[in-house]
Amino acid sequence: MEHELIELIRTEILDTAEPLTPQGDLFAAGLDSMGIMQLLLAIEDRFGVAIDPADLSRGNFSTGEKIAALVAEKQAAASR
Amino acid sequence: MRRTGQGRHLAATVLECEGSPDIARIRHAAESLGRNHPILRAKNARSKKDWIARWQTDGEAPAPVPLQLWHLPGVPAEGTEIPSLEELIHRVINGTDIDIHEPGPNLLFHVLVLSPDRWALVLAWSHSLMDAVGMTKLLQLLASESHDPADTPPSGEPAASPSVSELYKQAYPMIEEMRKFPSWRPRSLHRKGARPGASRFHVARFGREETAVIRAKMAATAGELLLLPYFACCAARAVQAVIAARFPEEGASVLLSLPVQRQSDPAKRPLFSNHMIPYTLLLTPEELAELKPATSALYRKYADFMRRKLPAAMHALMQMMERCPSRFYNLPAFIYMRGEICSLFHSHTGAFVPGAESMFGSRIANGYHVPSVSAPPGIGIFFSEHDGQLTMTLSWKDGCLSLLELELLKETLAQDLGTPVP
Repeated sequence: MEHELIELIRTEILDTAEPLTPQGDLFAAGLDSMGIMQLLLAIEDRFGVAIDPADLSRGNFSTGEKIAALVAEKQAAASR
Repeated sequence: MRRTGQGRHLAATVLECEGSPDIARIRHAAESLGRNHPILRAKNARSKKDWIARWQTDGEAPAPVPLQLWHLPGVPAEGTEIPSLEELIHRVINGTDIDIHEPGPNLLFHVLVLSPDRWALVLAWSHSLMDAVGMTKLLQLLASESHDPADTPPSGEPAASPSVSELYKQAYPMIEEMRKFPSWRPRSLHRKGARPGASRFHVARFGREETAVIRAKMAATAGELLLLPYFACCAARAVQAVIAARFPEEGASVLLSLPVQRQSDPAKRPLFSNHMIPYTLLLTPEELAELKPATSALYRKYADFMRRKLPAAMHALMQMMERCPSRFYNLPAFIYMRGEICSLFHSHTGAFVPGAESMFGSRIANGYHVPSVSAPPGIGIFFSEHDGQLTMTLSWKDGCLSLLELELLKETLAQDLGTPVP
């Protein structure tokens, strides 16, 4: 899932040919408020989880690895 | 566009810098920029073939971007004396030096020495030439002092575009969406029958402490990252407060026009082109009653807009409209919408020139845009941020906002932002 998410961010949100690593700083790579909104929609569509505004922190969205962990946590909570 | 004054829709971009300006360096940049980009002196005219307005660069001899030097009273520096930075910005956005319908400059540089250790670079530009994303790219080009030409849109006749009937099919979902708007009777600050006057503005510069307060309130209300819906709701609620005071018997809905960055290509489009498409949504009085639910409602509407592929429909609608004389679509739109196009313009352009800390050897202390607005709607509220300092620009037309209404607007913004408006 982490790889799929990072590819989604790279191709659909940042639209860059530059490779993204799981630990790469997404804000430094150009992720802005509009990109965050598009990413939230893409996560809902692709992974079936809605992110609560309370979880929208720079800490949770700074890298692909952290976003993937948040999505996995939401998926686990939904399946309980 | 001529009839509504949009053809002279000018903006000022201001960089407040530390130190003294290096005039030779700035002049060299102005010369390179003008030499490399004939579009900066081109006129915009409709093609006789398809009636679409395009930049006509043929036959234009390259020339430097004009540079004018100014200084405040009592400050020893080259150039003409002017009372204040605000006066210079006022002259820029109300100026007649830029006329996109005639050959001549479409971008001007002004250098104003504010004190022995502070100066401002003010760029005057036409919104027909580029938008704020394009301006960011231009400033990044200037900051890099690269004298290579940036990509510009091709001049002359373009490749074949879809037929009007094809565009109509693509645009239809947006047309259907817009048909819902009139029943909500949206209003703006434009006074019907009044001839709009000069462009006015107020730049509110929030310091780092105030910006931290604003960001903390945003984080507690809408999360740390949803700048666009949060600040759009602050702006919408402020304009709604003025409308509600003017028409207390009506429940005022707000029709908000927001720029949406084109998906999948922000970095790949030529500098001098439109990077954004407008996203128009309606917020009802109930949705606007409190800031937090208003932000959620705006975000839900944004999601709905994207899921229904309305940006593509809006793009097709704009392609249809660009083939028509402005009166052709303005008149029906004004009748249909009872003289309104939207309640306000708004944008949050995010970080001001990300990646650039200095310009022509001087550290950038602050930077912001001051766009002029048309009437209707007669009001625009714009935000940007530089180095932990938020700047809010209120822009309006004389006759659209009284002094008392301006105070109400600022007071509502102060309540929502969580700190007084300077």
